[in-house]
Amino acid sequence: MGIRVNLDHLLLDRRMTLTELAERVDVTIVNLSILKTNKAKAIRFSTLEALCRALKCQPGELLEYVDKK
Amino acid sequence: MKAIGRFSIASVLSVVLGFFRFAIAMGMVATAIGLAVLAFVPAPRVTVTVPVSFRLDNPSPIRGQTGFGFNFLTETDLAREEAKSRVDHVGGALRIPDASKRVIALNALVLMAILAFTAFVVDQLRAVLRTLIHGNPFVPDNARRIQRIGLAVIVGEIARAALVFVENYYAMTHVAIAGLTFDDWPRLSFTTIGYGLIILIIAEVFGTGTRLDEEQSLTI
Repeated sequence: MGIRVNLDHLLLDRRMTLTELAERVDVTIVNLSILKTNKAKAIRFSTLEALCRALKCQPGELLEYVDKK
Repeated sequence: MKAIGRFSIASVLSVVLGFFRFAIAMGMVATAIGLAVLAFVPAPRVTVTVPVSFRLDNPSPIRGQTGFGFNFLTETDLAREEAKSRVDHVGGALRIPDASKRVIALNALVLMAILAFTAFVVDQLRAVLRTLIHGNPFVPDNARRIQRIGLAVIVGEIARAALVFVENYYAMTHVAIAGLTFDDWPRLSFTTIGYGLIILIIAEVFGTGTRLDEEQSLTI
């Protein structure tokens, strides 16, 4: 996948667990896991907004473009 | 009766197809045993029936029934009806009594191929039905299975026409029947091929639907 989700790094920096984040953003742990393991096909703006609010970050910190070459 | 889930039409069909699949397997085993035994015994006195298609040299009019005795046709009506309906191309079966070992073996091999082909189609259908029973039919494998069924319908029709043509050729060179000529070209059913193409289109639509469903389920 060309777009990588840096959720694990941000969670580590914020000393937050996936369960805590799931409660804050109202997204299931299963779906956050999909996001964390880069298996997601797309992310809704509303989810991105909730994640950025909860993690106090910018979308650019959460998402990163990785050249597959 | 619901179409998806347990105790649905799909589950009933699955059970029916399960029995059918078992019968096919038994048929294949019986044919294989018969073929193996045939190699060691003299030609048995069996009648082999093969499908053939032919046309009548002098198409004869069909003499219709008047129907429950109420619809009396005049001679003029009958003449007109006769002019409309004539037997022209006919499909039938040719029975070969006391067939040679080679003919029996060849037909047994053809039967095995038909059974194997049918088993393949039934397996694809059963796999689709299983996903329906489990309530999750939108999987990429189902699109491929439906595509295989569509291709099988087309290939099956071409193979059937080719088989009848080969049997016709055999009949032409071995049998002479006054008043009829065996077809010397394969008679394809374009309707069946059309059905196959429709199934292929449905498979494409299903595949697109499956991709959308997958994308939707992986959108967080």
